[in-house]
Amino acid sequence: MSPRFVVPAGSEPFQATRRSFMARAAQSMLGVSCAGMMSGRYLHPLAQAAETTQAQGKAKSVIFLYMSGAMSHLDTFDPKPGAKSQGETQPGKTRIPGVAISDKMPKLSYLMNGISLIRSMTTETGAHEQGNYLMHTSYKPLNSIRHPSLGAWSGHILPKLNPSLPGNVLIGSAAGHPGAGFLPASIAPVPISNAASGLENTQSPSYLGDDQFRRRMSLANQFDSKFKSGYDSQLIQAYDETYREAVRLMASSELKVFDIKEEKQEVRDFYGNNRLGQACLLARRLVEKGVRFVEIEHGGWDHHTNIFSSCPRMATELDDALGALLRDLATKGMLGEVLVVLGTEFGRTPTINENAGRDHHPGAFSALMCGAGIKGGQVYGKSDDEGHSVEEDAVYPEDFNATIAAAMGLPLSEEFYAPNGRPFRICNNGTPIQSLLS
Amino acid sequence: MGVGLIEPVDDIKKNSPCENPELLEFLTKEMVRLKFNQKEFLRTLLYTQTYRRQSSNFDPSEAEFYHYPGPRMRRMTAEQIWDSVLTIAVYNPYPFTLPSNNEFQRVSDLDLSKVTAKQAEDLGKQFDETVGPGARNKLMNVAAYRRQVLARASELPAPLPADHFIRQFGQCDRETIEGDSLDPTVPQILTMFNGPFTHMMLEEGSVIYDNLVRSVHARDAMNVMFLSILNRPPTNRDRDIAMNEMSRGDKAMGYGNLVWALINTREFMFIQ
Repeated sequence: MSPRFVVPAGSEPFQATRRSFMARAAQSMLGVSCAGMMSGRYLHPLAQAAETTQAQGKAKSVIFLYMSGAMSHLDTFDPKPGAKSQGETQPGKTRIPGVAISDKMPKLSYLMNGISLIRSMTTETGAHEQGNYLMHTSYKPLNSIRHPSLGAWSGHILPKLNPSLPGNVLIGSAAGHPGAGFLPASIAPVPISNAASGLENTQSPSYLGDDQFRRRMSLANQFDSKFKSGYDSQLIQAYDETYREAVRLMASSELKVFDIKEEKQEVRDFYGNNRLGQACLLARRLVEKGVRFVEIEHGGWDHHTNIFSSCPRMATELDDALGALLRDLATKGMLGEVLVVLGTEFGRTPTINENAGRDHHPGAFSALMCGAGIKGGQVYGKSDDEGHSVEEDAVYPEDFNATIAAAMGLPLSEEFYAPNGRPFRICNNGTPIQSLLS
Repeated sequence: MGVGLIEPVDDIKKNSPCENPELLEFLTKEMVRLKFNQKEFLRTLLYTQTYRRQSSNFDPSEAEFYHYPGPRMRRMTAEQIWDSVLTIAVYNPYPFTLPSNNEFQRVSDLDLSKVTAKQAEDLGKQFDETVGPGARNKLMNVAAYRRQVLARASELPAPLPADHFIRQFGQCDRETIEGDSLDPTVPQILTMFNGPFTHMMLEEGSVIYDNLVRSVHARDAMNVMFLSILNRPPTNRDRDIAMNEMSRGDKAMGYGNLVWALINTREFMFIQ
């Protein structure tokens, strides 16, 4: 399988010093190409994307960072300096004049020219489970049906970019994830509970050589031949196909893509030696090899108590991980084809409670998008002075998802019928945010 | 059981066309004879040869009536797969169930007017070793394999965690009604290939492993293997293939390969 993404000639491998790497990355991120890059046809990916006339489907892959537990907008991407609600969080300047985010996120501040910040997310539910479901599926939970997540929709509609690998991967806890919903389970995200340990059950026991695995498979097929010649149902065929897929994966050299230990230690350090950082690194490896949709579930944002002592550390981790991911993708020339988004189920209250925490607040929260199909360097929407309600350009979870779906080129107006005969649309009639789309 | 005697099934009118008037007439008489006892009526149905017939190839997506030549071919449910794996691997898949009265009686029945101190002490020891709390704790430890509780699906909490074997094979998460799935996924297959339960089955101390090792003749071992996993004796062809595999040398390795191969057949996972 040839690599899906062309690395610009100007980009250097990781042997480059950290400083030159950062400089190069930042340059390409900001679209301020240096002379060497301008001379060739290797324009910065964001610039390339802007030149393309095709309106849809720019994002071949998506990396979705889901901040589970409800990330506080006030202590990350929408601080309110001077307001009563601000508490101890300090704002830090970004590269967009007049726009500040938490000072615990200097890397993202620096990269802000490539990022679209949404500060007018709003939703109707302040319960984790419902909010999580709505954010993933664009629908409210129903007892009679499970709606597909966006990753499953993309797998249902778009062909695989790499036939040897799953098209939809979920890193982190899979609990409560709607998965494939009413679509076939075969396109449900393949779960990886911990990025550092990779895909489970792909390791044959040490005493088992490659040829022995093949022999076992051949034995199974021989024992099965009589049964299969007698029966020929669609489900058996589906299992045959999935067995072939699993065998292909086991035999594939691509299987190594799940092993982040293949990366140099300095790269692993660059992403941050924590679950989120390593998950972002794995996500980059996966989209590089053509996995279409990677979601990272990262929990711990439910700061009901002591938010000002626990949130800064998490904001820094996020800054390191997402900052590294964006820089790395930009350096590899992949931001023209990969869309990175960050979302959460809702925000947290401007009022600081008696436990020095913030409670659930669906009225206003923040999200961000960067990369393929998205115009960077802007803030969309606005919350009020206290961060309590949306003042301008409200974005509902279905609009957020519709924007991602539009960048991927998914048919938003098409109706799909669930097995129970009811029609559904990919983002529940959400409207893509046109001014974010490039 | 396929097409209704009257279609649509919820449109019962005097002149509704009937698929099989003789059968309807017979069942009506049966229902009357059983004084409308639905349990008995169901028992009758379950005892019919029709109900117990071999699976058929019918694909429910075909838009035609199913005249019930037999149940349609289907995959085991997630719980059935789990229970099947446990049956092959674990001696007592009911670690939560109390020992039976008989088991208690064997170690607690004594005539106090005649018993000697020594007898009472011995019996007490036996009690502890077989049905007492210590023995039960030991059983629970044996039942746990790599932090998984090896008990029948019906004895486990529900819903199970999303990464549990049973959920992987499609158990409902209990968020929706009838949310079970029988669809294949790659992680399922990887679990069948390399999962902890596959390893467990191939290790010393599993039911099938011990039974195989106890078999004196290769022919018996083949029967054990096929009857345990596929519920049928091997055909001559199966036996040839298996004997050929065994002749490659290492016995344990040969058994391991064969058991692995059998649980990775569609015949294992689907109900005939």
